Amino acid sequence: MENVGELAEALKAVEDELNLAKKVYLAFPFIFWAALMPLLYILTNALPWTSGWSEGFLGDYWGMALSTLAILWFVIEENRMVKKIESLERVLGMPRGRSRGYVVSQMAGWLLAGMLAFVFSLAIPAQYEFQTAAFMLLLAGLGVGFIVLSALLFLRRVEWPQVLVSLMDLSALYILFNLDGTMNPGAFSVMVISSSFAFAAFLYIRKAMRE
Amino acid sequence: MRAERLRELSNSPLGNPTRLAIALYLLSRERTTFIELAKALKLTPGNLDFHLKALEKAGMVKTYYGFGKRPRKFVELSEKGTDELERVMRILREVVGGD
Repeated sequence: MENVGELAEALKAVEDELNLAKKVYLAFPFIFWAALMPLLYILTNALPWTSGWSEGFLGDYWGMALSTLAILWFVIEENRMVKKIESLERVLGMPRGRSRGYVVSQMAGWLLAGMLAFVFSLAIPAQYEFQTAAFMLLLAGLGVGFIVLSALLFLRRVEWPQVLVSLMDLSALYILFNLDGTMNPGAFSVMVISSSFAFAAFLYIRKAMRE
Repeated sequence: MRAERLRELSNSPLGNPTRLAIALYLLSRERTTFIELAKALKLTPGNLDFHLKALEKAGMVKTYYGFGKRPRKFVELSEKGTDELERVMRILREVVGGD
């Protein structure tokens, strides 16, 4: 390719493709959660053979183990995605270093979110099923909120779709405690979390398509 | 200056347009199979194998086998390959005056 103009055009086309790939990768963890949350809920509550477990010895441990696995899986997926995005950004000529602190702060953020959600949900004077539903909303809202904070601190970047997820999940707490018995609180929380994550994924992909 | 940069590019393991296309394709994916790569880049298996062997020898890509219904050869861009791709793209940007 001897013509520089032609080379510039090809380079621009390559960079556009890489930018699109980068933005689609940003949506991955949210699509993952949006799909997994209802599945987790069904496995721990709705299926007859598992709902039987929840009344017995394995009850809380089953739900807790599945949730822990889901969070671990999420962290692994997110780190793989961030690594991919970093490679794409490096090749696109916009390097952004990811410190070990960023990874640790994300994990610490989820742990802290889990602890805070546990404490707050226990402090809520309500039935067990409302406490569990509040725990899920608090965990997702605070966890994603802490991810936003760690990205702001370590990458100097604000991820607006993630801010929206956090706000949607936390503000849904108000609706949760005003449910008039028309909906199961656990199902409500799962729907809110799942839709907030799906919405974030939609925003990322729409942005990718528009640019 | 431009000629010097182009010479530098031709000495890179990714200096060949087909090898550069392979690296760029792999960059945007987590991993891909040999067959998918050949189809996407419209290369014959023999031609792709020739370029992959050269890239693997230079440490630009990693290949390994996975098993499903039949053995499949997977291809991934290595860390060294990403570094080299970053360098090549920087040179290309300088050549077209983008930097």
